[in-house]
Amino acid sequence: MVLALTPQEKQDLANDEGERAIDTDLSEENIQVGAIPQEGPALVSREQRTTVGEATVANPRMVCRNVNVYYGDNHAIKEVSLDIGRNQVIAMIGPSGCGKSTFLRCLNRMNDTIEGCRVTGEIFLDDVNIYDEKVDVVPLRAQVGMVFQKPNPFPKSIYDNIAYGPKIHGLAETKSELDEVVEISLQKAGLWNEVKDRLDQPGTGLSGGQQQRLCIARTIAVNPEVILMDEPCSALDPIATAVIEDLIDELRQHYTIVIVTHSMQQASRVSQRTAYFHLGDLIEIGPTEVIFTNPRHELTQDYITGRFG
Amino acid sequence: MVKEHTVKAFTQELGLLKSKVLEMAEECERQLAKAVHSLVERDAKLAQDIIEGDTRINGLQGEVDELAIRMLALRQPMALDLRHIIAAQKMAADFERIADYAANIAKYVIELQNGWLDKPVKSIVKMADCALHMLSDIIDAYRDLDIDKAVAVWHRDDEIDRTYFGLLTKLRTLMIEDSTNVTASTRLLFVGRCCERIGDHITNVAENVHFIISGEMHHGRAIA
Repeated sequence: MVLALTPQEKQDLANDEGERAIDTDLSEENIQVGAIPQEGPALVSREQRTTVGEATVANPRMVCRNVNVYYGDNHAIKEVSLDIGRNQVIAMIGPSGCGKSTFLRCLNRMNDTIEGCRVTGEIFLDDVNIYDEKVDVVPLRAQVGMVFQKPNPFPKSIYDNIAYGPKIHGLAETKSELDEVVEISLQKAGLWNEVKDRLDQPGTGLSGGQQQRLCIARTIAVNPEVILMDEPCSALDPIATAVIEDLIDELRQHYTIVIVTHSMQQASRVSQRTAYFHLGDLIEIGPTEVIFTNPRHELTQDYITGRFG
Repeated sequence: MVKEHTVKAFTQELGLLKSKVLEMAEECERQLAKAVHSLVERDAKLAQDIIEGDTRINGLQGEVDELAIRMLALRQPMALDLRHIIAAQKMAADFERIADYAANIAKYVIELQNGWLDKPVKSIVKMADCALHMLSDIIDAYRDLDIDKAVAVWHRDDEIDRTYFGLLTKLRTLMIEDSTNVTASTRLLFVGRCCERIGDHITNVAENVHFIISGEMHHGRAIA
């Protein structure tokens, strides 16, 4: 009796290469009865407006508790509690009017400048409630810097755009100290090599992306701990946007960053945590990869998958 | 309840993708049912039909791949939609393999014309019947996104594995008893192996249906 394999059998053996080998010891105990959990977590219904997800973090940079914002009779932010993690990028997303920018502006009291705006609740930075009467907003806004949607350099030279802040905050005394701050800030903002030979030229003469990096350098120059960014790339082309996004990733080594963006792709690219706001409520907060692959709230899922209205 | 996309074409594409995967699944079901029939009836002509029919399923898999890649590139799917597309592509690959195994069974049916062993064939039919039930249930589970049904299918693979173990024992005994059984036995062993593999691919599909619904990944049997 010859035990030759037929061509078909040889073919099958070849096909099986790389697949799980036949378990020749298929004894009863060797067959594992596996474990898919019985029930997937159901989504939280659209009617439910309490925050889903982990709002607190270990060792936070800022702590927000029961924050409410009113513009006159309009209740723009409702009982939002959220920690801002250290050396992390947290993205705030949500449809227009959801309160994400309003909330961002609470973090350095930019809302104080808006008439009829009232903020309640507590926001702590280094154990100090920044809404405490004793807090001076000028150093606060250096500690918690801000970059705006439209690049807004001062109508001055590139050098003076950076040097202005350190000068008024008394962070640099001599010309050489100031030179150093300007160079370091421009380097951190990834702009130094492009402008080092024309520091005396007007900041407004730079391209949009360069202007935005100049504004970031200006913010960095006063030694902030937190940088708030309100749609920092919405006025930029895709290449300038990618440069800024790469910069944001580098900056988080030294700073804590809070970014508001209309671009979900941008939120998913730059942030470690994502917060979804809807009509003034913080609906969901979680690790960015969870929010974009497996959100827990129906409203979050509707928004990030493009099921609006 | 899942709402429709604001961009309606996206909803339509997702529907098309799912219908193509379901079409593949149903085609697999038919191919495997025919394979069992050809084995029991020793029908070489039917077996030849099965072998030729495999190209249809390969073609469908190509369509699923193209559509899935296009949607990933053009729609930037997230969350539920992303899971649907990724799972569809993986399930299509599993169905393509299942169909290959059905065709392999058919090839052995043609070769088995000259040697026949009743008892092991019964075990193989039992395995294949179990696989057919699993296929039919997993098609329902995917169509209706029924997580309980997917989990039940996943667990039924143990039945196939146990029957396969019995089949191996039977074949070994037959070969020891009488060496003239060796050629037929080894062929049947490969047919049994095809059924066992089909069971494993159906559990992969069940894991993907589970993933669509729950968002949690399960990487086969390694999980305790």
